Order: sequence, then structure tokens, then C-alpha cells
Amino acid sequence: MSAGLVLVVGFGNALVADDGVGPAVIAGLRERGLPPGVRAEAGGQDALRLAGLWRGEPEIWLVDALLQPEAPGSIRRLGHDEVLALPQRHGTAHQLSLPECLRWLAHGYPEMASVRYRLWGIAASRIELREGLSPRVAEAVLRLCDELRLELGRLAGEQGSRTPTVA
Amino acid sequence: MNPGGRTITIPHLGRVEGHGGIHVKIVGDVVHEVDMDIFEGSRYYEALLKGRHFLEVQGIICRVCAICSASHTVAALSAIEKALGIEEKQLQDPDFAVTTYRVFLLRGLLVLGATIESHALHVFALALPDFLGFDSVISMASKHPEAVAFALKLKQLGNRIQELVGGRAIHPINTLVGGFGRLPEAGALASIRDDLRASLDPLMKLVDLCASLEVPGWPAQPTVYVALRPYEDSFRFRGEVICTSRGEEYPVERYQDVVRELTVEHSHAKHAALASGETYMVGSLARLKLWGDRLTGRAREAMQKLFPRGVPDNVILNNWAQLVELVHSLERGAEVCELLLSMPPAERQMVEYEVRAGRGVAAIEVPRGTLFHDYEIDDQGRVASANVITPTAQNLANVERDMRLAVESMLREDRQMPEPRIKAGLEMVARAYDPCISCSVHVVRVT
Repeated sequence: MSAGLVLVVGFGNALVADDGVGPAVIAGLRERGLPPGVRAEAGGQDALRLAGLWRGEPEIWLVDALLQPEAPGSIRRLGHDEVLALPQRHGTAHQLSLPECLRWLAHGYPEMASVRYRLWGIAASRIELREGLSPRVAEAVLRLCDELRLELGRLAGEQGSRTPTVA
Repeated sequence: MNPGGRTITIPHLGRVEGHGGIHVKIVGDVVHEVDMDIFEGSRYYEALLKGRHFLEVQGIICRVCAICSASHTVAALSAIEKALGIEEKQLQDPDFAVTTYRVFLLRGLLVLGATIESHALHVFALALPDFLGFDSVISMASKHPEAVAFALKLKQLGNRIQELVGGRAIHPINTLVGGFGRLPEAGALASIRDDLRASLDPLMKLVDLCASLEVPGWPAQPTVYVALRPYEDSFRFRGEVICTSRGEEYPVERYQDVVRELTVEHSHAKHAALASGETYMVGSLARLKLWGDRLTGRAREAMQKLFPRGVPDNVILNNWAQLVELVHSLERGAEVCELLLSMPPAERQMVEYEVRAGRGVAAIEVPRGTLFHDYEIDDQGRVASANVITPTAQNLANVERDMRLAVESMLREDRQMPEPRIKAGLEMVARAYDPCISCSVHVVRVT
């Protein structure tokens, strides 16, 4: 397995308003161009499908919508241990929580046990069945794409990594 | 006890985020009200489809459900093809029928992949921890590490099938109106076939484990079961005739004569009942009740181990019925791979068709029960109307009925039964139906 550097996965559904931040960030990163060794994939709504997307990268960076009382459009950054310590309630009757999925993946696929996760969550304004992100969340997606692109460039050793287009 | 009665409220279905709240009002030992509120997204998708070209339908409808995207895809494509007259042409022209046989088999494989994924997740990650006394599949790994690892690999095998046939891991793109964009390569099909066969022995060990577990009898209640009659004289997930356990039969085009949709005040989702007003159950237990005698091989063996005295009227056993279907899906999946491998190689399989106005109704048996898709297309190929009836919507009224009867049964046993025990029982009944609750989203909660 030829391992790259990072797999970026954006979870969510583009037809459910701000739940679409994950696929929107993936699209934004692809538009900006990915450095060598980095892949960006939409992860849909099932974190267990990470097993099918992963190709040996030592790090998986996750992007998801966040349900929290903070201001919509704010970006929260969580490290590996914080991701695994998130509340363990199931997503639905047949969908496990993110940390349960990550722990199960590490158990079922020992080769994934050493993967380090990071999570960028964008606080959602509305999670309802409609197309399009709310304005503050759409703005946050642009900010996050620039932030991630810069960080990925640094990690890949790019000279003079691109400057963010949005402050 | 309060002489005015007591109200039991479960804000969210156990270990389930979001909707799924249950409210029960008990006066004496009589249950006066049982309401379960779920969020059921297919209504929105119907509205979103109106006015769109039929070629856009698949890309939208596959997002209704994270787990059932392949099932919605196959149902939608079948209905649209009926509207366009592709099926009519198939019946009239034997050469045409030969061309579409491979498409039929590939779509069947897609449905089997979705069933493997869904049942593996529900039986081993959500039901089995309950039966074995663990709070999650992760804690279950401390005592059953091999079973927990195998369950994930089984789910992943279901994903791999969908990826191979559908063209990618998330949201199939290869499945098209009239056929397939690119056919799976022989090597990949053979690998899937071998993995399906290799999974049978370890799965049968889990069948033995489940067969050794005691299942509570208090939820047992007779009900009406509804499932499609398989298209051939075998156990299958597709068919053209809706059958009830009372002996009624209707062609799928007449589904509205069987399924009466109702709006209820307490729920976002529509409920359903038979035209006679009775509630009914769809899903694995219903399929085994109606067609379980058609199972063969290891699936038949699994059924005999799990239901040695026949399939009882106990919704909790829907979990074990799913397990039987899991065994069947592995066996049938390997058979379908073999059939596909015996066909001459081809890169693409598409039939030609002309756009015309028409209406098409299709139904398939998906993990949670019978799924109906109904489309009317105008002469420009735009969707004039869409109707999607999910298994969860059909089961909801029966879930409430079963919860009512289960509480009454528990109260007959002990009039002062403590609330936590009643709540646990209610959740067990609701979860046994494996309801699909707002799984069209993926969010993280940090508090």
C-alpha cells in the first residue's frame, strides 16, 4: 500500500443545508489543488466507510458540521484524543457516533489503529432539508478551505505555501 | 401511582441522537396514548424531485439515507424505466431481455450488498450488545473481540459490493437509467465471490451464539405481515406482487389500494395502515413469515437454528430474522457473482430508450421492509410527481401498537413495574424495527 501523507474526509449531505459543510470543504480543497500525498474525499453520512476510503495515510483529517450552542460559522479544531472523547451517542438507529466508529475501525482493522485523527467542525446554523449553506457557514467553509490548504502545503513541504484568499 | 395516571417520556430513542422520542400515557394498567415521533425525510426529497429531469433523480434520491442509498437507487431506476416503457420492451423482445438480464443481476447484487451492510451493522452493533448486556459494540469487543472485528469486515464487504457495482464508495454513479456505465471487472467480482463464501463459516458461529440467547416473550403479538412475492420460486428481495399474511395479493402498481398513508398530529412522518385500517409490519420478520420456507442452504440451516419451532409473532425476533437474511445474502451474493462471471465480458451494458410521458411504480424489499417509488414523467422527461413510501413510515403505526401492547403485557405482570424497566422495554421494541431516523445527515455534537 503506497501511503500518502493525509486523507481529508468531509462528512455530510449537500441536500441538508449546513450538514453539507463536509462535501463543500472537499470541493473547495480540490478547486485549490491538493499538494502531493494528499487526497480529499467526500465521506457521505457513515464514518465507518472510512475503511474503504483509507489507503494507508498516517493521518486522517475530518471535516463535519457541528451541533453546538456557539455562534454559527465558528470553527472548532479538535486533536486526536479530543475526537475520541466526543459524546458517544448514536447518530441514528443504525448509525454509530464518530468516536464509536473510529474505535471500531481500529479494532476491526489493526492496521488503522495507528492513524491519527484531527477534526475541524463548523458550527451549523440550520440542519434541515434544503439545498445550500447558510451565509455564515458558507463563509466559514471558505476560511477553512484556505486554512487547510495552507496547513497541508506546509506538511507537504511546499515552498511559500499559498496565502489565504479570505482573512 | 398517581390516580390520574402516569406519563412516560423517552426524549430520544435509546442511544440514538436526534428524533425518535416516545411518549406513553398510562392510567391504571391501561395505556391511553403511545406516540413516537420520528423525522422522515423522504417527503422533502419528493418535493425536490418535481420538475427535475429523470436523469437527475438518482443523484438526489440516493441521499435520502446513508445506509439505504443503493436500495433507493435501484427502486428509483426500476420505476423510471417502467415509466419510460423499458420494461414493456423487455417483455416483447427476447434479445432485449437477454441484454437486460445482466443489468437485473447487477442491481440484485447491489441490493444484496446494501442488505449485508445494513443487517451487519444493526444485528451486531445495535441489537447484539443489548442481548449480551453491553452498552455498545465497543464494550462488547472486550469479551467477543473476534465477533466484533468480523462484524465490521462483514459490513465493509457490503460496502465493497456497492462500491464495485455502483462505481464508488459513497453515492453510486455507475447505475444509470437503462443499465450500467461500466461493468465490474472479472477479477474484482471473483474476489467478492470468494470473500462472500469465506464469510459464511464465521457468520454461522454467530448464528449459534444468537440461537443460544434468551429472547423475552412479553413483546409477542400477532400482526399482519406484508412483503413482496419473490419474482421466482426462491427467497428474493425483488418482486412485482404485494402479499399480506392474510392471503391478499396486489400488483405493485396498485400499492395505494393496500397502503393507506395517514397524517398524524404527533409525528413529522406519515403513518400507514392497510385499507382495512389494520396496522402491519414490513421487514425481515415479515419476509421470513411469508417466504422463509423458500430459503435453502446455510440460510435454511440458520433459520432452523434461530427459529426451531417456526417464526413466532415477536418483533424482537426481527433481529434474528435479519441474521437469517444476512446468511442468505452472502450465499445469494456469491451465486450472483458466479452467474455474472459466466457471461461474456463487456465494458458497458446499456439499453436504448426513447423519452416519453408515463408513470412507473416499483417496489423492492430493502433491509427495513418494502420500499415503494412512484414517478410520473412528462413528455420532456421531467418529473411531474414523485411518491416514495419507506418501510419505516409503514411500520410506525405498528411500532406504536406493539409498544402499547408490550406495556400492557408488562403491567399485567407487575402493575407497579418501575419506569426504567418499562422504558427499556419500549426502546427494545422500537429498536427491533430498526427504524430509519434522520440518517440523511452526519453531524458531531460536542456537548
